[in-house]
Amino acid sequence: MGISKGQTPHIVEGLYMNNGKHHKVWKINFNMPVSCLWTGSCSMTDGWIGSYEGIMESSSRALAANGICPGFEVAESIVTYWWCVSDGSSLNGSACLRQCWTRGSTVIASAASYASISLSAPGSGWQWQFWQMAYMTGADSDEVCCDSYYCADTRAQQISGDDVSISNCNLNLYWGDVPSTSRCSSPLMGYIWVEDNNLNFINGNQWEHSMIGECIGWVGPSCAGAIYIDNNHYLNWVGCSGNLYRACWRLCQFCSTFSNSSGPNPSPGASYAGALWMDQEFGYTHLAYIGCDGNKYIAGAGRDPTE
Amino acid sequence: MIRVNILTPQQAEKLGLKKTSQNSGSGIKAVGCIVEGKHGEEGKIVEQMILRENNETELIFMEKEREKDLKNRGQFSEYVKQFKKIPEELK
Repeated sequence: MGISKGQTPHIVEGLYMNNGKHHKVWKINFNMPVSCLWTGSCSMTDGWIGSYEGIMESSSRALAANGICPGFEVAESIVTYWWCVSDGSSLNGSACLRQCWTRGSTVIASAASYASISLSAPGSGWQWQFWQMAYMTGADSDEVCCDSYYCADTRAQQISGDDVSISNCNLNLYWGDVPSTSRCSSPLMGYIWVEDNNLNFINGNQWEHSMIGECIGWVGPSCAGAIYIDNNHYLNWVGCSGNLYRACWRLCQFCSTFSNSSGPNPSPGASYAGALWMDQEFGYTHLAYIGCDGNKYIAGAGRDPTE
Repeated sequence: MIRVNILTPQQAEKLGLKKTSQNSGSGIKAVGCIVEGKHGEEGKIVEQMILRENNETELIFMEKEREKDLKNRGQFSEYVKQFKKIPEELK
């Protein structure tokens, strides 16, 4: 007879899933659309996580030196809680699964979920249950805002029944060279301009972001500052030198599988093609525009969230 | 190529352009799932949930067997109360 339980926590840049999906966090814009990571079935030994991208705990990182600016995600706390019974054992209890980020002694983000564990193994054999939770944190005045030790705290606190609690684990790391999260004045929100070869804008959080494009040709300095949407729905702009640049990524707004109410992605129609604005939705860090096909696209200064 | 027409967020909203996001699949701060398995079987997902940036929790999926099990133990109502949104079929 046997009962075992435990947790496997990490702080990571992202996850490579066994189903081929890549869930990244490091340097993407705040709260980008997320596709469903857990699909199909998995084995007990591997779960869905194929490998961890950039494990960070017990290390230090210089954020600004690594291209992090306010409005970018920095890391994800990922934890797997597991319970297993074997050879005729059973386990029936409930616990509160807690996962929080702290900066020194300050809690900057926390999540809790009620877990009901009900396992019963036959005479020979076993049964198991595990929970996986992932929680992001980013460069913001309420989150990663100063040079400090940051910690991901994960635990399962007993509520009732058999003891299904799992003692806490604290993973620590030091983030230095944290960029300033001070904001521009609000009248500047939505300003968009070409600066040198980049497309700069004041985003919905009143931070200046700078999109670095890929040079795709030369049209001459007389066109400097012009901004276009090409037939593949990418943002293009002409730099001060007359070179034409294309944004490194764009994403057609989609309704993710993480929703129980998503319908088909409605299109406002091609009559609105060319409309561009600083979106004040989810994350407040991206530009939104209507492409030639009439769909809404988003683009931003962070890494491509889908690559 | 189309030259852009820069709008304020208010103008975009007035034109009905912002509705395309439906606030779905976006603004997610945390995600979670529960998996169960038995000896000789592959694990299967029995629940998925998300936490949005406004701290609202949503239960995305609950397997029928898990729903039945929680109901049999009288824990279902208390359990789903923690979520701001639950799937229509669980209401």
